[in-house]
Amino acid sequence: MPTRIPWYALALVLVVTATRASAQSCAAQDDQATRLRAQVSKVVSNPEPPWPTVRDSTRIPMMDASLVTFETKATVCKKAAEAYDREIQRLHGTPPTNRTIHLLKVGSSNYAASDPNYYVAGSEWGTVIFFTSNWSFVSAFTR
Amino acid sequence: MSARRPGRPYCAGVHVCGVLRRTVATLTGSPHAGCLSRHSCEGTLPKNLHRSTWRTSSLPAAMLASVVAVAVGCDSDSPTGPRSRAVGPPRSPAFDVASVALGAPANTALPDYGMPQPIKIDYRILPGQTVRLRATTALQIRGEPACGGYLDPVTVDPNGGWIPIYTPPPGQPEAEWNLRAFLVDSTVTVTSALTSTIDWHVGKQYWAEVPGGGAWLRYATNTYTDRSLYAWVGRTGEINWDCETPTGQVLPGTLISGSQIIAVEPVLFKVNVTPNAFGPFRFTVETDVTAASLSWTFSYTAGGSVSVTACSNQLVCDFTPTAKGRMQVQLVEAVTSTSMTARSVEVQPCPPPADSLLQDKAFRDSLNALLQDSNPNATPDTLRRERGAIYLEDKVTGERTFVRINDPNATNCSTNNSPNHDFTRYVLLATIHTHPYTPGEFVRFCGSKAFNQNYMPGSSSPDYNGLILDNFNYRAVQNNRWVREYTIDKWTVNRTKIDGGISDEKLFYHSNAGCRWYPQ
Repeated sequence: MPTRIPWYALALVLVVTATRASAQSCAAQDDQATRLRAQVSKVVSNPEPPWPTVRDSTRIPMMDASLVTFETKATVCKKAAEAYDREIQRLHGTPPTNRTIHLLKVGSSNYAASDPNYYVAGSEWGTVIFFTSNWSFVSAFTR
Repeated sequence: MSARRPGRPYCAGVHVCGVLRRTVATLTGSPHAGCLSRHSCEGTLPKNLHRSTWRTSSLPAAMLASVVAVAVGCDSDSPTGPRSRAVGPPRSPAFDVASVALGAPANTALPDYGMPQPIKIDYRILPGQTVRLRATTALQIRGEPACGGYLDPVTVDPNGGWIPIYTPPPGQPEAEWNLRAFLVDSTVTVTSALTSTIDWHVGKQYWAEVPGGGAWLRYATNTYTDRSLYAWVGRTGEINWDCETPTGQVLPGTLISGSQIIAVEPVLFKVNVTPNAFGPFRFTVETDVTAASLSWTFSYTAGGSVSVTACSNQLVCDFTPTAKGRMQVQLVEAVTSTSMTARSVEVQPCPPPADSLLQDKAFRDSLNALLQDSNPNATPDTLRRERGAIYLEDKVTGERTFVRINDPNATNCSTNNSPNHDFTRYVLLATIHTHPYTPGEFVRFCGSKAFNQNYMPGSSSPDYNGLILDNFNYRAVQNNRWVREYTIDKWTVNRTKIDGGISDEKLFYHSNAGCRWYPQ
């Protein structure tokens, strides 16, 4: 006689799976995430040299630092992680990878994403990528 | 500087030089080339002096001297006469003597007869500029501005030297200069030579001119297109004022052959300043004249000035301004008593850094040297190298030492050697490494790996989290305490928070305000 799995057990499995899937896209808000937010906030808001120069290079408009916030929605993080990996492949010539990222909402129309565990081989620098709200590439920066 | 005197007008005819003029005009493309001046002739020289009196020893020497000074500006009225002052573009010294119709047999022993020789000049006189002539032999130089007065003759040192000449002050651009350089023999001067039919020919006359504006060293507009100065080299025995040499007459004297070099250059006098973050700025005078005195004045942008008496008569001045301003130096030249003024660039004193280590100039200099050693301006940028160092303090003596960490595998975006020091004897005060980039600069490669992103100033993540074993901070973490981690790029110095906090503190920056310490 086949074992019957109660419907609520199936639902539980689905929820856990979904949670893990989202965790693979959005990394925990650790010290590195906090530092990333501090860095991006400085770039978009600080009027003192050299930040205006850096900001011009990012092609992100100047705004108040409070407009830089963590984005934690799993669906958004997933899209961001995919876009981030796509751009890393393009910029660095790396193979496709599933990534977990730190994601910041930057104002109303931009995002900043960074994989805290990713460095170009032989480099001490990680990569922050700015996107538009529809995940088009804007600019990439060292982290 | 010699005084301008209301002048005795002199002959500066509009006459042309026949074939020569046309030749010169063709060569220079200027209709005025070959003329001595476009000004009308107002000379006082009697016509009959042109030929008849050059042998007359009874002519007062002073008058003759005046005549020479005047007559060199005259052209001959003779349409066919030779033009020993022929002017125009330089010609080859090896010209065909016979082709010069002087009415005298060509003297092959004097192949440079009557022809202009090039004199090098590479300078344009601008309003308000102090200019001087430097001669390589003993010269007496006169200047006559616009037919109205002249400079008192000044004799250059036989070994060469400088002569200041008047140039129009700012706002008075119109002026025309006729500069005459007389070669002065050290034993027979021009003046005394005039009393003798032999000796006065020893005085050779040089003409200086700028073609395109006539036969004069002419300053009239700011539109010089040809800045070459030509000079006349007369032959021994030549009668300069009437442009002819007596038939068959060969007069003794020193033959001048080849060209003499007269350089016209701006007076080098400027004040440089070495940028500094705070504390004294070092101002240095750069000049090639001998100063009789130097005085220093710092003028504040907001108003007011300070006479820096401590620097009087010094070529180097360390001065700490309290606000933004500019250093001005007044120099009096020893030989001519000419007063000159030069200004340094504007300086902006910076407040002392909050960071105690950076207040130490030796430490800052070490950081700067480390950055320079990173080859921060190299292109392609993969030729740059991150450089690392540690800063140690001897526990016993208190002596501080800046120790470089040489990583043979360092790239433009990494350096990975760990410091290997005796930390039982030394306290690790700081770890340092460079990022040889300008904030925002595009980094195409990291070593051989494609990178294609822009540089963001400050420490990179491994500098913070110490997760990489060979990270400098790892050593500090091993000692269970945080040390200062400095990263230096081409504009900024950043430090991780001493308490291990997660963001950088920008300590110094290069800005348009001039607040900086290393000259990138």
